[in-house]
Amino acid sequence: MSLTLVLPVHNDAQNLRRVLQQAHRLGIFNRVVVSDDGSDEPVSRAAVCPPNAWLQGRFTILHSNTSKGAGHARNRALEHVETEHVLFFDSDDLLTPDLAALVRSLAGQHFDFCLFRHTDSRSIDLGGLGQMPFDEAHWRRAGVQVGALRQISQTQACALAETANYPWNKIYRTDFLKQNDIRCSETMVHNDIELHWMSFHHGRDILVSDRVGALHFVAPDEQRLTNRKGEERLAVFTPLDRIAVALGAEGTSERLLEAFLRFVSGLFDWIRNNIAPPLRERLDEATRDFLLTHVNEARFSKLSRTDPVLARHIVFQLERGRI
Amino acid sequence: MIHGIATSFDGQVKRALNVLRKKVTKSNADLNPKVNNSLAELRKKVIRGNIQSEIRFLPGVTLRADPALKIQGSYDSPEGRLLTLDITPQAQGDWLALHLSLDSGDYTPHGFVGFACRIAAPEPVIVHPCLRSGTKESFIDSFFNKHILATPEEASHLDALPIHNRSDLPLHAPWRELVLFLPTERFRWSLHDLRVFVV
Repeated sequence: MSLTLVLPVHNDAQNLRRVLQQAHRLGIFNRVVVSDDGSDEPVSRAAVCPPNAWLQGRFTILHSNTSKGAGHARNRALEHVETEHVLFFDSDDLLTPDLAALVRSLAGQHFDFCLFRHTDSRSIDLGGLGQMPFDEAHWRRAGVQVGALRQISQTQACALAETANYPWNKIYRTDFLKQNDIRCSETMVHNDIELHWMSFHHGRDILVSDRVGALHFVAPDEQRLTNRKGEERLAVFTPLDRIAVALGAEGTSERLLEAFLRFVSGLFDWIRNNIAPPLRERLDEATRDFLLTHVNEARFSKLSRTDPVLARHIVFQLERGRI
Repeated sequence: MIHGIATSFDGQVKRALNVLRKKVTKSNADLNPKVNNSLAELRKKVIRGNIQSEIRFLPGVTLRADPALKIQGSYDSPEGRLLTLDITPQAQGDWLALHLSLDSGDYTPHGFVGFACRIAAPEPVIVHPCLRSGTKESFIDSFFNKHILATPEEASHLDALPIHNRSDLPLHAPWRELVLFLPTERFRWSLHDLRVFVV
């Protein structure tokens, strides 16, 4: 099995060096592509990689003159991936030894992508160890909390699709992404949603592992893109429209579309709680447009039977701001 | 009396410290290096197979079942973990357990015998651990106070038995085992890690 590690990075040379040293110790990556998203001081090979490291000849640095977001950085890096498989990872997170065991167990297996577990720093702060409760609930619902490696059914996939849309908790088959044109959105935030949902939409051979492959840090630092409160949040509707069209097309899984609607309904509430208050009116209007476009009468009628709580909440979101 | 004392005072002190260091190390030694070494070997291996009434995964690590249970199923040992068992009894029976051979050394200098483990199971599984000590005629079981409860959330379990002032734990025994009594109904259970200690 050949594997490339893709690392988008923006002004994070110190953490980048740390994760590259980890990657070296794990010994599971054939190549590394660092995609510098317009760092103030461009990432240099000398700064992040010791001169005689294993990466000689296998290390590519791509530079973008301006910052266009991690989605753009990942997409650009994907064009340079030639190995069979790829792992997108964040420079401020940590790889784990269990990831190496997972990669070795995947050798010789055919799969579109393999989803693995992670430990969230917020969980540690709460005195626990593992994923956040909402993610654990979806793993529990799918019945896959225990098991070093297994293939999942479409039903289980629909449950897992509702987990946090991280790009770094999946090992992808490179051709699966390229042949289905599965990419990140090139928005400053929420750029992982399209990669996540289109993967579940196209995925037929999906594996899951209860191995913890990543330690994910959530920082309160307002400068980090994930903590932004501005207009950039409103750009999410473009990729959401694309996903909804794809999932709503005839012949695709109604169950997955329903899972997606559940996800976006929750996402709209989350954005509303995190966006700057003056932008809420625009957000509410965009939410109404999205729901009216993609939840027609027939679909709503079906939702009222299969998930009446969601149906009621959609009505609430349609009426929010108008009352 | 410490033998071979060097003539200089510094040399005497250094020699004395070295002797004491060895005495302290020996008295606090983990009396069960063999089982922990066996478990470390199992963690490195990747093995799988079909369940039978008796399976020796490695020297000192054995699954034994009452033949009346007629157990079927599978086991595997993913890299970095010990065992995943998926077992379905086909009939009624009395016992099914994982046996781990321990050193039979003198427990007199020690205070506790125990273990730590990390487990998970898709549906809750209760395992009853005991220390089994051989006697002249048979054996005697000393059950740990706590059951091991495995749930879908991977969790740690730690328990220890006080060694002294009890009638069910002989200080000397020709052989000893840590026995993990497993359910005699259908179950799936993952033992990710296990370490035994005598301190």
